[in-house]
Amino acid sequence: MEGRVPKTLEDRIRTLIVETLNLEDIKPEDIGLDEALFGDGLGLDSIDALEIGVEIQKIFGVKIDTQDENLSSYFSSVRALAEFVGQRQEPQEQAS
Amino acid sequence: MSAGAWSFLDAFAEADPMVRRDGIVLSARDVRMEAARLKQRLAAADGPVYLYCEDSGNFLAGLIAALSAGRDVLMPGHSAPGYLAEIGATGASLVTDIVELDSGATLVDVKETLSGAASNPLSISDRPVIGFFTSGSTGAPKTCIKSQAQILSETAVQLNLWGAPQGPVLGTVSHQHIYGLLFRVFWPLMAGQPIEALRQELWEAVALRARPGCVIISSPAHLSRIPDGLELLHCPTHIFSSGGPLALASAKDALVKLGRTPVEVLGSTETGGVAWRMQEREGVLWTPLPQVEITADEEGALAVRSPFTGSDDFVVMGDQVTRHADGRFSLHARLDRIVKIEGKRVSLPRVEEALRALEEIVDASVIDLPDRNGALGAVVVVARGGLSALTEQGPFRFSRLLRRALSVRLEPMELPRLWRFVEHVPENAQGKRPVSDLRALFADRQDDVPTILKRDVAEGSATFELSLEPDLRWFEGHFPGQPILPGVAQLHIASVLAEEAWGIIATGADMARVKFRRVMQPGDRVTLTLTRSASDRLDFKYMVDGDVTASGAIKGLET
Repeated sequence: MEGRVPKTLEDRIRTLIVETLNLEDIKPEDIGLDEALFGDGLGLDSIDALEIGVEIQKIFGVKIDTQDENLSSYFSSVRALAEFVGQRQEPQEQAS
Repeated sequence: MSAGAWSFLDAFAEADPMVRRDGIVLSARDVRMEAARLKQRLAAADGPVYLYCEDSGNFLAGLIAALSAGRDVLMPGHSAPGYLAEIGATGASLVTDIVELDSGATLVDVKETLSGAASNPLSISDRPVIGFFTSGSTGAPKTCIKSQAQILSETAVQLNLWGAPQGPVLGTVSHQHIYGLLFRVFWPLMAGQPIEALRQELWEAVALRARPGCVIISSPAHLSRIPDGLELLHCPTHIFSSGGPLALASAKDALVKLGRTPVEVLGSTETGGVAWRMQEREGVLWTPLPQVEITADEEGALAVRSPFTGSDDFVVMGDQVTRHADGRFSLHARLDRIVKIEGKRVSLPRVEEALRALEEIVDASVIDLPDRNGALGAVVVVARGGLSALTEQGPFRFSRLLRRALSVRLEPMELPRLWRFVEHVPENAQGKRPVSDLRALFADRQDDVPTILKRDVAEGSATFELSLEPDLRWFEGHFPGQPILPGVAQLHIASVLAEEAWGIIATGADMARVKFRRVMQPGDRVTLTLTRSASDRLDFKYMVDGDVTASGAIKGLET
């Protein structure tokens, strides 16, 4: 099922969250860029985080180091996640 | 079993007058006259008689007529035309008091006969049986056959246990099911009392008819919905409840509003009555009925042996029990309500109980969804106090809030993943919550059906509030610059939601009389009303801001 082509990295991540987790009653654009993904914001939980992590690594080819102390801050919002993915992707894209 | 000497007619011989129909009192002779008239017609054919009546007096005459004509009696659970056709209840073998039901049906109508010849003698052999319809696990109706002796022996036990009713036996339940038949019809008759012909579904109507010594035969569906401020002039001597578990809160509510704690009767169509209790506080144990032997199999499932089951062996029920030394027992989850999720056993009632304990929630039903990798789905009625949070945060964030609140008590795999917010949990007339109806709420929806903001599904009609989001597939390219919801989409949405609501298939059906009056555009909030006006026909009506935008009907449906 191919949707419309998402434009920004933030949009792609929002779509990834909704599709990976099979979220109902919510559309990618309903997720605020700075909204907390866990806890009081969107309300995702630790199992959701695992699934998103696996999918991010698969789709964007980035490595997630589970020992990284800043891990939870990368996952704090769509914008933070996009920044994290953007930074990790850059060297790869320059190399190619 | 000495049933030959003890037929229905003997058992009910003392009941004269036999039927009270509000202002009218009908004698045993009135009932027998009509039964004798019908017997003439019914004796001319064979095979089972399908007996469906609204009026219990008419029902009684139909029952005596069919049995004395030597024919078995099958009891349809309700009168939806599609259902009657499905079980074969058509033509002259259908005995009913609903004139419009089937033009070929045999009509029964007990009237006051002020004069006339002595009634014809009637006799009933013990051979004809009575069959009830229950919903099987697939949802298709199946029959459960009882001998007259089985039913009479249970009636005798109940009469012995509760004594004779001392006033009118009022009922909110139908006599077409075994519990209503036993308690509303056979119990008073065997005690030599008249029955109340009319079922009272409204509590106000019950209150109006409450007399000294009255009894109320009800169900959890009714007892959980007693209106505030109900004025009952006379407290009933007994309230009975059966058909499903009665919540402790409902039992307490009945005590406050009706003045009596209900007697819950545990049983099933297959086993008949099994045990009873009065829930005055938490944890009241169940007491087996006289002549009922209780045991538990290796899995802890309740097994029953009694003269009412029709079997000499123990009959296993789906409920898990713990037996106590004094013979009483506590009832746990139904075993089919324990499911495996990611290899772990999850008790659905436990999740439901945790949900109901949240202050945002009034009622909840939880099921596993095999079509969604076994994820748990919660069907939830939000409390008045929680509605603003649901509206402000939207269903998704609100559901996550509930998940977080649940996670204090439940393990991760016990947390529902999919949520439906409804005004009532779907329930059938017996107060049961059919799994198939609950699962239908979670049927896969594509991006060609708008977001459902609110749904209210009943037996014959359903209302949906829909939000037409701009990204709905139907708006693409139709028309560029001025998107509107096309007629084909309106039909499609109506049929998808009808299938979700009732499982009726509308593909390939004809449409008739469709009127489009006003366009519907992205951003509109639309109310869709579906009505099942006949078994093969679905009427639909779309409204925006109180104006009808489109209406029509889909015909030739498969059910």
